[in-house]
Amino acid sequence: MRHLWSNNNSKISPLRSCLAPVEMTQENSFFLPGQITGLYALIKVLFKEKRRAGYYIHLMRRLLPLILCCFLFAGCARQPRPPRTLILAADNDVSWLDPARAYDTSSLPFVRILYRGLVDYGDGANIVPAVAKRWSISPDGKRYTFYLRDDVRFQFAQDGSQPGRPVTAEDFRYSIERILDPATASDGMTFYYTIAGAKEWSEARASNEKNPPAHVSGIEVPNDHTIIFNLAHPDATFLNYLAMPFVYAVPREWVEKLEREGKSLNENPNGCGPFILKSWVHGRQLELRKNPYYYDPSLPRCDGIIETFGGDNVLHLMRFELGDLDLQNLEDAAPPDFDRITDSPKWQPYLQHAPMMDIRYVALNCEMKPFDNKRVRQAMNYAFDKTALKKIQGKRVDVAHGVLPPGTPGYNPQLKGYDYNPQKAKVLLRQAGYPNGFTVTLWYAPTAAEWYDKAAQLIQANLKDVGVTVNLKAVTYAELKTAAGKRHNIQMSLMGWLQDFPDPSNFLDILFNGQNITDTSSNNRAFYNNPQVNALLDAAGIETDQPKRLAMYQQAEKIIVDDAPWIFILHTERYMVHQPWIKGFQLHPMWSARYEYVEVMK
Amino acid sequence: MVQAPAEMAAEMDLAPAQSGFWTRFKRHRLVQIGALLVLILVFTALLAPLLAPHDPRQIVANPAHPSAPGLVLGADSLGRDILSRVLFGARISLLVAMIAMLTSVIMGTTIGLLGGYFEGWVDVLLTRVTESVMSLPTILLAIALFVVIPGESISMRLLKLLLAISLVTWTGIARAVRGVTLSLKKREYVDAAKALGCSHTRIIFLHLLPNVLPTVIVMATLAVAQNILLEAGLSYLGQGIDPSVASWGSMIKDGEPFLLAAPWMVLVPGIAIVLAVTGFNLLGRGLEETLETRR
Repeated sequence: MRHLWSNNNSKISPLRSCLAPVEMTQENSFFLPGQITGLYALIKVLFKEKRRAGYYIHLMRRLLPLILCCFLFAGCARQPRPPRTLILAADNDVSWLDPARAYDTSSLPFVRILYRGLVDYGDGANIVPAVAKRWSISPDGKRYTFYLRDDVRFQFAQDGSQPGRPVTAEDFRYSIERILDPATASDGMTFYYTIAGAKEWSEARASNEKNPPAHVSGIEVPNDHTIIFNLAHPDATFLNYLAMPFVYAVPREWVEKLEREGKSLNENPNGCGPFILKSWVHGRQLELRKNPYYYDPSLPRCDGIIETFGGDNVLHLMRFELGDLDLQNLEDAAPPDFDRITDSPKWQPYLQHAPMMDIRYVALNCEMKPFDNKRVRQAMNYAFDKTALKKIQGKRVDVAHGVLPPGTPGYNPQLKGYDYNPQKAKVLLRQAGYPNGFTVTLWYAPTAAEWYDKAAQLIQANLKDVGVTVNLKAVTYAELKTAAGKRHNIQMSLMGWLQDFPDPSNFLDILFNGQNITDTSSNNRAFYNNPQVNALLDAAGIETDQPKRLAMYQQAEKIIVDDAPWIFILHTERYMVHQPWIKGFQLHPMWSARYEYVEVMK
Repeated sequence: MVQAPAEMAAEMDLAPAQSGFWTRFKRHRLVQIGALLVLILVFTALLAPLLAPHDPRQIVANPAHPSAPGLVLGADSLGRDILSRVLFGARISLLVAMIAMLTSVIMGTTIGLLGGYFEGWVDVLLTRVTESVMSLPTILLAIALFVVIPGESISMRLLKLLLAISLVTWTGIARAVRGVTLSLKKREYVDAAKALGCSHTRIIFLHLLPNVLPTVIVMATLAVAQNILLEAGLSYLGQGIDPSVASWGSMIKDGEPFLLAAPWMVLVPGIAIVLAVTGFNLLGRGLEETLETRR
């Protein structure tokens, strides 16, 4: 359409050139010359025909919506696709690119490809070597020795050139000590307290002692390629903790240089992972590119990743169906959209699903009335009809009978849990001394999952039937987390827990051990404290014989379900759909995505 | 936003000044349509329990299947009857809009009368307060008030909603009333009343108030329309009474994800809002003509 600009050829319909940008997919600009030319020509032609000013004003009023539409369509003109690049979209920005701070589903998929740790997960939940080429564990289960590869390099050298220096055992010691330093404010700090001397080292740092010990006593670095961890007690899950991105290698001199310059690792990541940060415009877009010096030359399989932020699930699904996005999570898709995609023969070959390994629940505060009464808590479980949620969410959810999701070691298929039985609920409430019910407030975060809002309303309607009035308090997820972690604060909160690794301890110990109750940020959100359960969980934590250990966890879970500190609701099944040109995408039981294995054939 | 009365109904023909209210009312087709819509709305709200086939809070159908058999307009995302919820939604809309309107009318009229009548520093103070409230975005201010005021039960949330809406919508009325008062107080009858030694209270309530009433009635009618929109907006944003209580705004929010699969879930409450707001706006603008507030 450009010729219009040069010779003002008004024979070509001005209207057509106005709308033309819709078809122009190669133009990479919002204000397309063709469109401006079209408008200009249109106005000119109109002005030649008649001269009365009022008429033009009238005409322009009529045409204004059309003109606006043109601009709107121009906005939709697709940007050209960079080759072999994975295009993604998310509702919200990534929270952290600093491995010490990242602990949510928006950040982890990126942090784990910018950095690398000693070990990683294989195609399943099995631990495989990463930067450590092999390791050995002493017979008593307390001494772990890792032997590092010598061909792993950081992405950037101190002066910003590539590649950086080789990764050494000292870097891993620094990364763990960085987590243990309270000044870092990492959510993972207590996970590494099993290392001998770690807790003491951390406390010494916090108390500003004059001469804090330079290093954690339990970590030995005999040479550049060997690191040894001595544990305070045997821990069957220690390797799992080392696979978490918290302790992925970061170069000390880089972090310290950034600190001196008033910058942060969060904005300037430098790891040894398969991708390098290209740009991160907060709230808008994150762009990664391939790390050409990655130690495994077969990875990554695509040249880059672009994730744009903003919009919502409806918009993302629409863009996915137009071919603008490569992967689409169906977790929060509206039921009709979910059915449409999963039933369509077009998408079925590209659909994948796997258990999310989570539990969604209502925490009933066992320290506050009326939920200090076991009968009341059980009544809540009988009163709520979980199958209604199953009807809304369809294949995406499974009714929970206990705490552990199916597939976790130690999952107990015999556990019956609670069925919908309002009559029994009423009887229990009467026995507990609440024949006329009571009023409670349910806190929930409609933003955390699309269906939480529905769940809250269903709970409200179901409990109404047994005489309990539920007021709904909708807050943001951050508010809910803070409020639910505080002692004697809220009675009821609708929450979810996603595993860190598939082990019963990651559910039962964190969420139900009475010793994990804290006054301000308790993960035990029901403030459930049963000495019998605590003893079982503590014993299972240091047991190394797996069947014996799992039996203890099963016993603990049984007592917990009977005590009903929660309304046990659902386990979720993850559904992802990808474009035909995406190869190698595989849902993983541990990571929400492993982008380095994804190939983009476009 | 409520406009100043002088700007309203600019395109309407002026009725001859000497004819009576009813004559002028009969002449205005639009005000009749508005009155009809408002009447329908009021009757729907009053008779909702008789008209609605189901309890609006009861789950009567399979959830997430909008075209539920047996229900005229289908079911919402939880399986509640949409028709019943729209009918009951009229109650919430009307209740909130009317009560908030009354509160804001009382506040606005009082402030406008006082400012216009006394002038001087009283007027300066009240005008500044009015203007500062006006300068804040209405919906943001309402959300802020709603979040700040404590209380989570349904009745408390209703009260909060009323308070939030009326505290942000009185400013237009105050400004209009002040303007009318300023011109009225220069009339001869006010001078006469002053000369006879009438107290300020008497002048304000017996002589000025009846004469600003036509303006207030017009502004109030328009305020109802504005309040209906504001309530729907707040409910849509999740700051409404309670998701279980049927409100048009929360119904739109509920139906939003189903926009392509079941567009009526959004369209039905949407049309209800449009009709209600149109009704009150037409009535308000028509009344402005028939009550001769333009002078």
